[in-house]
Amino acid sequence: MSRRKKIIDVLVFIFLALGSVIMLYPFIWMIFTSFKPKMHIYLAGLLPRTWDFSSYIQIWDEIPLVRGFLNTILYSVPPVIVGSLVSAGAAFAFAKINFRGKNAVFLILLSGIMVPFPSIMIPQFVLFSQFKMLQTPWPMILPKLTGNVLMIFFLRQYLSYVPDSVIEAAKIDGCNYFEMFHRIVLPLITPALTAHGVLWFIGSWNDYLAPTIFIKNESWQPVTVMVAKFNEQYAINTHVPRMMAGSVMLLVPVLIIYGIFQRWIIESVMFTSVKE
Amino acid sequence: MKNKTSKKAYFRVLDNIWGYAFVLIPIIGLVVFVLIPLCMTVYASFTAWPLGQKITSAKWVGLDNYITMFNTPLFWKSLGNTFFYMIGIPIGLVLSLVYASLMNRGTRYENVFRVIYYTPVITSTVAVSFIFQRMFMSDGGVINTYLLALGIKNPPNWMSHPGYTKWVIIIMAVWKGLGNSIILYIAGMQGISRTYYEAAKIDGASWFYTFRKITIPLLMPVTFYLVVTGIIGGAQMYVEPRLVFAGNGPANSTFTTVIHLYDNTFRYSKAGYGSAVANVLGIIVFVITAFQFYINGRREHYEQA
Repeated sequence: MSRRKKIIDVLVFIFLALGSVIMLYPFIWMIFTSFKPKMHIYLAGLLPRTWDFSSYIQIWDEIPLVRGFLNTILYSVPPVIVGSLVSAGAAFAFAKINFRGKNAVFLILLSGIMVPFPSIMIPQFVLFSQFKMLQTPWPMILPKLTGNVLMIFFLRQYLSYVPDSVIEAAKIDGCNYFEMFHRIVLPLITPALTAHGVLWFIGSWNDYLAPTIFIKNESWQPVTVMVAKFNEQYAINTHVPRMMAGSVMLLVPVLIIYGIFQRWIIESVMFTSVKE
Repeated sequence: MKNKTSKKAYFRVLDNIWGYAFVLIPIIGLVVFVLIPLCMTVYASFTAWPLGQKITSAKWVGLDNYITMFNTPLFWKSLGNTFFYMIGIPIGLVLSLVYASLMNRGTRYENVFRVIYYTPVITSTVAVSFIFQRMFMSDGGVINTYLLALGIKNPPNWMSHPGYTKWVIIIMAVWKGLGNSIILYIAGMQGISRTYYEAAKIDGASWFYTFRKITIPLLMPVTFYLVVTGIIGGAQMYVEPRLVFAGNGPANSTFTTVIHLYDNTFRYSKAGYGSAVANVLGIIVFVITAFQFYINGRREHYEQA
């Protein structure tokens, strides 16, 4: 019995390892291809025969990468921090405060998820243009500041595991809800908040459709749009190493952040996911 | 006594004020960035509205945009493609269920695999689209090189044959989304009480029977969530076909409804027509999601009875 289990364990391990190769191969291929000279892309073999850094020099010379990264950080760090705190507050209210019409309000908010962005992007474009905000950073910042409904949903779920007695005790001690929120609730949900915040940050980092609509001038474009333009241009004359250098630029920062937070992210996605 | 009730009432008022104070900003966000735009899209779809003009001065044309749309073959093509891509949803569900059960056996290496399989989920669709575009190249692409090495004589012309182009997108979407469904399924599996499995073991049920009769039904909420989010996401397919196929693909085979919407609105400035397409998209997503909720609600009702 135990021997049979061991054999199954080994087989499962092999199966999962093969799957891992498929999951990671595109990234490995991308990295090695970006170091190949253009002439070598049709040669067999994953590793470059000569290491060529010219694609990176080219991308550095051709697009304002630093500006792009700074723009992306501007669109994905401060708004996500503010939006996450707003979402946490709303989640706290939905989970722990009894106010009239709570469930109805929650359902209305949730129904917002069902509205796909493409269905509302034309009027958003018009509204931003009316307030003279096109070609400025605001369309990429303002909608995030008001929180994220999915995050409210997940944090509310997380908070439902915090016993009400904790809240009641704080109430008896004369805490008002704001004090309760920032002294008791916020420390309690920090792990989930951080993990979902990081996921949201990564999502904003990767955003592409919205900035192509709202920001046409290069000085405010995020790095995704700049790299996509760069890559599209080199797709035409199949300069594959340059395209891959562009993709590396987009992926490496995210992969580093994922590397730091991976355990945390996966645990809290698991913990706050659909339970009942 | 009287003092106590008034104090209670006071706290109730306070609860209401604090409650609404905390949820006010997300509600404002919903109204400004979702509900008002939604109403505008509905209104605009009945007008001939060139994008640069004020919407209030746009001419009312009744159902003209919808009639034009239903008579536009390209619209139907885009809708058909968008639905075709959703084949990826059941494929992803089956694969992730298999992988989730293999990664939830309590062995030491599982955490490493979970992290690896989740990696594509967090990566940029833009970057990944260009990687897949090149890996699936018909001549000299890595995929076909490997297929040839495996003894497949005529590997498909992934990038140029309209019968295969959609599959490049589907493979990419499944690959990119797999990790997420795996993690959610594992979470669901860990939420299932041990006692069910122990009881099944005592009854002498086989592993497969247990999986079919206990695991799959109890994972229904996760499956439901994945199907709904899959449909909402799939209906919005835009970046992948746009970047992998640098446009609409051969014979418009990768063209989607959102590309149709985008092009008409932002390239040809026909915002009224674009709004009509946007509404149809919104209605489809809403109807499918509502139907899913209905089915899910009925099943829960049935289970409770």
